[in-house]
Amino acid sequence: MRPSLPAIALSYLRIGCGAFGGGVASFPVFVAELSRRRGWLSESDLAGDFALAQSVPGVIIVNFAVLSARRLRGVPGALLAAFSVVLPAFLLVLALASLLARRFPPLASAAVAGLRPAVLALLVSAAISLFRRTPRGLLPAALALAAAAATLFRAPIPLVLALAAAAGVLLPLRTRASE
Amino acid sequence: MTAFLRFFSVFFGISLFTVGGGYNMIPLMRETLAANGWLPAEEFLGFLALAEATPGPVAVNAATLSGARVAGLPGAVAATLGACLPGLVFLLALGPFVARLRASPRWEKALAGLLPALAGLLAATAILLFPAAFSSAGGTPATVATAAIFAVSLLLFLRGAKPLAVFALAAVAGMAFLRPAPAEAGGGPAAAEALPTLRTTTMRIRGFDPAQAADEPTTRATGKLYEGLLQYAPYARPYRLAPLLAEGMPEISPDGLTYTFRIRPGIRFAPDPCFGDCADGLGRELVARDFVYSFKRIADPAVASSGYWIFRGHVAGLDEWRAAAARDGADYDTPVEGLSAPDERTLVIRLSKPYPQLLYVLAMPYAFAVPREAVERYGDGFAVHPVGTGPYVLAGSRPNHHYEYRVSPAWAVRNDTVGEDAPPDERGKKLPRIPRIVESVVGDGSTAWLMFLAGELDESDVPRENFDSVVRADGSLAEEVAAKGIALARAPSLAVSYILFNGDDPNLGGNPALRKAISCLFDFEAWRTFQNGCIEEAAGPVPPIVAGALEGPPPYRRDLARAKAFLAEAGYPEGKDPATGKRLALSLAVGKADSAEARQSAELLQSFFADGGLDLAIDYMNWPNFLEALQKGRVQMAILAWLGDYPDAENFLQLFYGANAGGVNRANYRNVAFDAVYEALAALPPGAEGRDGLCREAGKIVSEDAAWIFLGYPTKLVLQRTRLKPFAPHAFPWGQEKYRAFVE
Repeated sequence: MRPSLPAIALSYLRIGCGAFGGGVASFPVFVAELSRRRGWLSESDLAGDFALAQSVPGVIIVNFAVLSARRLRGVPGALLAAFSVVLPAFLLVLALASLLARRFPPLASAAVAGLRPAVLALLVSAAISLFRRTPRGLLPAALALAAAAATLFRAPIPLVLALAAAAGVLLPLRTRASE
Repeated sequence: MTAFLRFFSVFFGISLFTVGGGYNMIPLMRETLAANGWLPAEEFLGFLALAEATPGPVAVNAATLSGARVAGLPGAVAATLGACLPGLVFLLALGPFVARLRASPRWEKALAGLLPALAGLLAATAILLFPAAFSSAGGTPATVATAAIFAVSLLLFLRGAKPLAVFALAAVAGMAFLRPAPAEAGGGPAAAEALPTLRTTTMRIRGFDPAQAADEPTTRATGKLYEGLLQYAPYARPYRLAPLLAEGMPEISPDGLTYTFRIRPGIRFAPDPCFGDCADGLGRELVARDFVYSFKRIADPAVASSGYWIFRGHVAGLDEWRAAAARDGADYDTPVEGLSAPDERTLVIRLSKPYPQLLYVLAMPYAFAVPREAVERYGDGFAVHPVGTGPYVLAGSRPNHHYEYRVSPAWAVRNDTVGEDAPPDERGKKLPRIPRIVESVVGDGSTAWLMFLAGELDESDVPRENFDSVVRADGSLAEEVAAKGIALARAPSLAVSYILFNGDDPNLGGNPALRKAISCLFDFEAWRTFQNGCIEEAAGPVPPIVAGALEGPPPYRRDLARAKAFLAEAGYPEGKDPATGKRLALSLAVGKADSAEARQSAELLQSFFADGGLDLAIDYMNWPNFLEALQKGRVQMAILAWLGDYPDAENFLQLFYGANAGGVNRANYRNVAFDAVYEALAALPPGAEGRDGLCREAGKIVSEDAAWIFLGYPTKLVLQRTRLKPFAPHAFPWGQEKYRAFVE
């Protein structure tokens, strides 16, 4: 069943509200909404979209929204999702900007200081969850380690992902659950 | 509407050229906004904090804020649309391709590789963000609270909790437990942050060994850690030497060959394990022997110091010691006739021939005292393990990031104070006056400028690209900049910039008329405009702040008719080579290939040559290749500057001395008449009667022979935060940080 446009708008608005910490950290938020809550897309579908979103120009979150929503309801869905995912932040930022008038109060800094470790935890949990979806064995573990090392040393992400995809095609790897 | 379009296009462009998301866009945004004069960098930094505190794409949030700030709601909409659209358009256009990709059986296989890679990517991103998450925590309780929030959130996420709910909890927990506390007293990093700190920039420093202190960052770094017998009195103009580790100026024998120094008692090296245990925990006391050792070390071929020229051919027996060391390895216990320490407080330097510049070179970092124990203990590691008597010690360093200096414990027993050359209210203050210095390694000027504006640095050069918005046409500081607590200091620098003609080049070397023609094509007024007025017209090689400089107008000024006449005389009428009938083609080597400024200046020079009907090819090279090409004489012309080693005309005139060809005489200029005058003046000590006249005579010879194109004498502008007391820039700044002070 194809999700309705209002349902899509609502879901991407929720994602837009919860995506703290920027593009890479938004992946688990997408998974939580689109896969676990709605059951529209599988986590590995989303992982593929996430990889593509990072490999083309632009803002990761917007790219990710376009790619994932296009599966749900074509181009109109993609446009609506892109709009919805940006809207909450846009409004919030404008409201805060005029309220705070360029001074960042200590209480807000404290809130951010609390958010930062939570974003870390979200990233770690997402990494664990993704890794659980891959079969045990030396090859996947080596791939994960290699990708982590490449990221730490600031290798270009699209290149890392392209190599990983090539490894998937060329090496005997299988996802555990094909769903 | 135009503002809308401009904003849209700027952010569209930034987004279009950034793959991999927001954090890659932020530096580009910061620079573009500042460069267009839309938003000062410090304000953007504030926006960044807000953008991180709100959900959604960080870069888009920052774009929205900037747009709103500069052009209201339309600006915000324009910026947001601009940032989001490239990916949207791209992906919609790629739609069919993406659909086919996903349907292919290979995509399933590719996903099997992508899943673990993405897991690795997410984990690595967490690691990269880790320092930021914990750095906002000051002190142990905050670290514990941060760790607790992390652990609880992780547990909740693993049990499938909704991100929004966990984030709400985390924000509340942060507000409850992570309120920024007022600065605490006591030890630890928090106390270090509270120490008054001078914040400047530097470049990556390869080592802190005075023997290798050839470049500016290294001389400045070693000047904080080590000291020499003499230094420049920091406030005195004209420049004047003053004793530092010596008790007074040396006693010089009437024949000018023997210099006797008395060494100050009670000078201690910084504490270091290489000295064993000293009762009071400080390093060993400095003795005259340390200078004998350090000067021999400069001569040791194994040390490969770039500074041996300061003693070569002058100190009795040292060249022989060096030759023996090259043969059999250095033996530091073999005496050198010209370097002796008859007792712990007395140092005697004997010269093989008069060397009036000795006092100047003794103030250079090459002549700083290094302790033999440390060199022998640390070997090759000595360069990164400095042990000196200087006012500061290296308290921390992260190469490519920053270097931190703190007051040396050894200065607790010293009573150095600001001298009589200073303004009256500064005299007698105990040194060093600022306890901590942090030098950030900043690669490019625009970043340094943004940091300076944001208040993260105390000093900055005036960046070329922002010059007009900082310095007004009359040379004063723009009001908006002054209002930020910034003051302008201006000083002539001890330098001359020039274009050399390679004397070994068949076209140029034997053809003074051609050199004169080219000199008449050089348009100093256009050059000065290009240099933002920070250059003075050069009458000759010696800058006017040095005794013996030429006065009056240069012999060759921009004059196309005269250039034409000289060209005809040179055998290239109208700039054409009669042999080929084509325009004479010359080439100019330019180092610093990556600098836009070098390219623009080369293009300006090209236009001057074209005015005379000459073709000028520009050969851009990186700096090491440029130096190598110069050394091997493989350039025809090259653009260079000479920074004086000491404030003496001889130091500038040596650049034309025939025997220095292949060395500092990079032009390979040879002129018997000049050499005779140079040799006469070089034998006289500075200040001797008639010496300044000889200097002017020598300068006149080379300037009338058009040995170089004399581009000008650069002047230096420095911006300083007004929290610092004003301090005039010095051409020899090493060791002067100890005199810097904050306004009380």
